[in-house]
Amino acid sequence: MKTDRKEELLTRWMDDGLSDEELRELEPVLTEHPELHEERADYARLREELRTAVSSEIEPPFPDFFNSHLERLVREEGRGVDKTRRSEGAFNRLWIWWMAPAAAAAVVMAFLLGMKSAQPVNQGGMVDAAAGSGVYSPFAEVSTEVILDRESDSTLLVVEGLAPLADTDLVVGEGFLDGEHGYFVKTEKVY
Amino acid sequence: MNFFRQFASNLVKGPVPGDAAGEGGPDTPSDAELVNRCQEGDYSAFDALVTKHRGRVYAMIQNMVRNEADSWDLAQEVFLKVWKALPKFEARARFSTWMYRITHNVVYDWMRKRKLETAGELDDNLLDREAIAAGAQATPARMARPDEALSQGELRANIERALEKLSPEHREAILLREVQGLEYKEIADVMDCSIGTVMSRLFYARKKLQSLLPSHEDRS
Repeated sequence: MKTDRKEELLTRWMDDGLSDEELRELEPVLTEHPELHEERADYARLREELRTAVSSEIEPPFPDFFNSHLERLVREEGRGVDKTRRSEGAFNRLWIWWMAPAAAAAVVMAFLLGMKSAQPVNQGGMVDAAAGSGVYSPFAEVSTEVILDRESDSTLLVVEGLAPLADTDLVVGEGFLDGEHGYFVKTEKVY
Repeated sequence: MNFFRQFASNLVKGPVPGDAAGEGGPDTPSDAELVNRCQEGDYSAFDALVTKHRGRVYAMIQNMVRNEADSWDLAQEVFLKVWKALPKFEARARFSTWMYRITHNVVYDWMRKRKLETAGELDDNLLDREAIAAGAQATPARMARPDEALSQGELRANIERALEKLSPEHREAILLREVQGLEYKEIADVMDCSIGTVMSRLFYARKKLQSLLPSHEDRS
């Protein structure tokens, strides 16, 4: 039997996908290599483990923002705007704040004030300067930006200048600063 | 809604229901219906398609590129290309297969670009992935003692490490077949190769995976 044919039959045999005729065709190979039966059983178990361990669906982080950001790209595409430059790295910067797994010798307190009440109206686009929102950082080299996304009804806090942080380094909550209510993000991690 | 509250709520939402075939449930429009509406310029239908499929696209990309930030951006790119190409989509293939095809192209373009960008630099990740021929004899997996039964987390980590050692083509074939549940013909369409090539890739990828992972008996 040619190698290609043998590989095809064995692959489909592993998947229980052979007709009776094909099974007869493969029979001599199976007789010659009885260990293939064990391999097949092993692979069936491995397949189950693979399906358990590897997700077929993973919601992207910030799924609502995913859709609204995409809509923005589509609109810009329609208008012929060079979206590549405008969207370049926007999410990567966010990830520096949220996800990248590394330590940071930094303490940052960000206090977002009056988020809901002070959101300016934004008709077409999705990004506004965060009028009415304050972000405090104790480090001059750390720049902060608040992006209000009305379409996904969400707020992004982009912090640049920090070493990457893990989720577990973050504390998110509500509180008061100078008597005003707001939301805070606190990161505290020492090397 | 505040971003942080929304973030927390997203953590518990989980994937959007929907089957791989894209058939709608009693209350869910099918892919074909949504595609028709998209082709008539209905953006809300496209938004529904994105919501329905973003989990699979993101998972596929994430399992291929192993980088969450890049995966997010690449998934955006996939859906932008889907939107642009939808007017030409003729439904000869399932929408989901066509979408995986676009995902395949976007991921491979990214890999090529990344390879060029890192040319001359020492990139351990790329070396690991590509220096090992898929058919090469793999280092035998560590034989676990009976008392070293792997926890679920360890099992996942082992499987992910093993998948990373496969060539991109072999890894993709395995993911499309075993994780996403595509038929051989669909995998061939997605990867733009013959069914014979798919069979060969699956054959060697499975062999290599078996050599990289301890067998069930070894672990139990």
